[in-house]
Amino acid sequence: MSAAQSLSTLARFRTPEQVRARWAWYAGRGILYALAALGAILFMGPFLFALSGSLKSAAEMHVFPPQLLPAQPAFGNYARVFDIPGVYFAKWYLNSIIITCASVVGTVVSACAAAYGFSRFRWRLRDFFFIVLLSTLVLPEEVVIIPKFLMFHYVPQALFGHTWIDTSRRGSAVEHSACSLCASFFSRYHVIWTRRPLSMGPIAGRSYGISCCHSRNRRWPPWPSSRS
Amino acid sequence: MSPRAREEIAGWLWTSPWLLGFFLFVFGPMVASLYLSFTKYAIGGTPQVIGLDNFVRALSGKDDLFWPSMGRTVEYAFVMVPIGIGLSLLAALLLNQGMKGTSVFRTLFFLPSLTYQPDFGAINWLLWQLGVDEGPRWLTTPSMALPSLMLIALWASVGGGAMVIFLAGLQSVPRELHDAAAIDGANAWQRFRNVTLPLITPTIFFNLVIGIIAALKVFALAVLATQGGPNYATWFFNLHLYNNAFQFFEMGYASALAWIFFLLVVALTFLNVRWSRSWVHYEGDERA
Repeated sequence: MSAAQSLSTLARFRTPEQVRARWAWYAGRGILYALAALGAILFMGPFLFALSGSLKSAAEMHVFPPQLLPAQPAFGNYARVFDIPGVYFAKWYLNSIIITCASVVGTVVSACAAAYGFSRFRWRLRDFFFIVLLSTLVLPEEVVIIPKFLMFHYVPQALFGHTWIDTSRRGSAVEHSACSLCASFFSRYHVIWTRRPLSMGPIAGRSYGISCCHSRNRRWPPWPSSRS
Repeated sequence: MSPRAREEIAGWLWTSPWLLGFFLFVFGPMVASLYLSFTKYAIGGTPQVIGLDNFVRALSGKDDLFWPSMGRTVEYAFVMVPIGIGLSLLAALLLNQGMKGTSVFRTLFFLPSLTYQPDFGAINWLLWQLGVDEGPRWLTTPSMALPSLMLIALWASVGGGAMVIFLAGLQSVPRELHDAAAIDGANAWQRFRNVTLPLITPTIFFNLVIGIIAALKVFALAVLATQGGPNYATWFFNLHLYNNAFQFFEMGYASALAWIFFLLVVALTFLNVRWSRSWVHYEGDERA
């Protein structure tokens, strides 16, 4: 019998321990799948209830015990949202879409440009501004929200003669989102996208590598860590 | 023009959109808010410099909502951050086992973080299945409101950003270290404790810093679900700040609150970074 043949015979031969290990492996997998399914149900549950709630009539919303499936699905709810008096849902919906699109475009453009500028060119104060960029990660929006609000209130007033923000409607969330529009341009994505080539040497004595979720060899978190 | 000068100009130009935004929307407003914090200012009027009065008013307890809202916010963060990070890590570990359909599970876990859903229908339904006649009035009972918000926030955040970052961290743990440990006879727990955990301490640290700041900033959830009530049970610090600024139009006082908050965040982050030196392990770092 050749060596290869004897090896393949060995591979087919299973001791009771091997059989047991195999079943233990299957049991372990079973537990894992059960846990993942349980987690998925936990995470989906409230979501499904909200979905079913959207199809319930007002009376059925307050039925106890709560029902997962509405007795008479009220698909009309979705149309009614748009003509409740005093609720300008279509307008708000459009506002959200505009703000989202604008801030995504703004973020992508300015973050790509900044990442390129920081990673491919040497310029004075670059290292300093990179530290500044990193520290904006931990800057709470609250510190700048009031001046930003004032800016959005007064600058259009000065330029166009009327304000964009109606302060007589107190505390509407729209104001907040208008102000956060510009803030979102300067988010952490700038940091995430700035990846310095190793050949350029470290910034301020350290190198910063940036990670994205699927890469194995880049590093997370992006701040000063190792000398690679 | 010399190549060196061209490079200098190109660097500034490419970075200029960010620089412009930074000075216009971050640095400028920061300076302005520092100035406003020393003034009495209602929108429409002129700021009157009043020195440290705003800070005294807040810290001395003359504003009787300041310390309670601060305490509530810190309490919220103290509960949310450890539990949130622990559960996110567990979820990430579960999804890192090479199961079939991992991407489906990952999507399902991530879904809640896309939307806040202050809806307790599902939990009340579960309680009813367990024989409870009437579910608790989650958000309208003062003693239940804060834990309820924590529950919603946990549900929304466990499968969110922190979990994704943990997944990235777990995938960067070299397989060969695991295999070597397994050959040496380490069981699954020992491999996790002595191989995985030290190697993902930078990820834990990152999530800790970001998580603490995010928890202290709790705002949208309370506005949506409770507006700070019932009886101020969910009146968080940022709600206090927001109401002072945009309901009472006390812009000067609200700026002082913002700076107190900022200093708290800076202090906590600083302590965190100092503390991290004793437990965060960087591969290939001579400090380790």
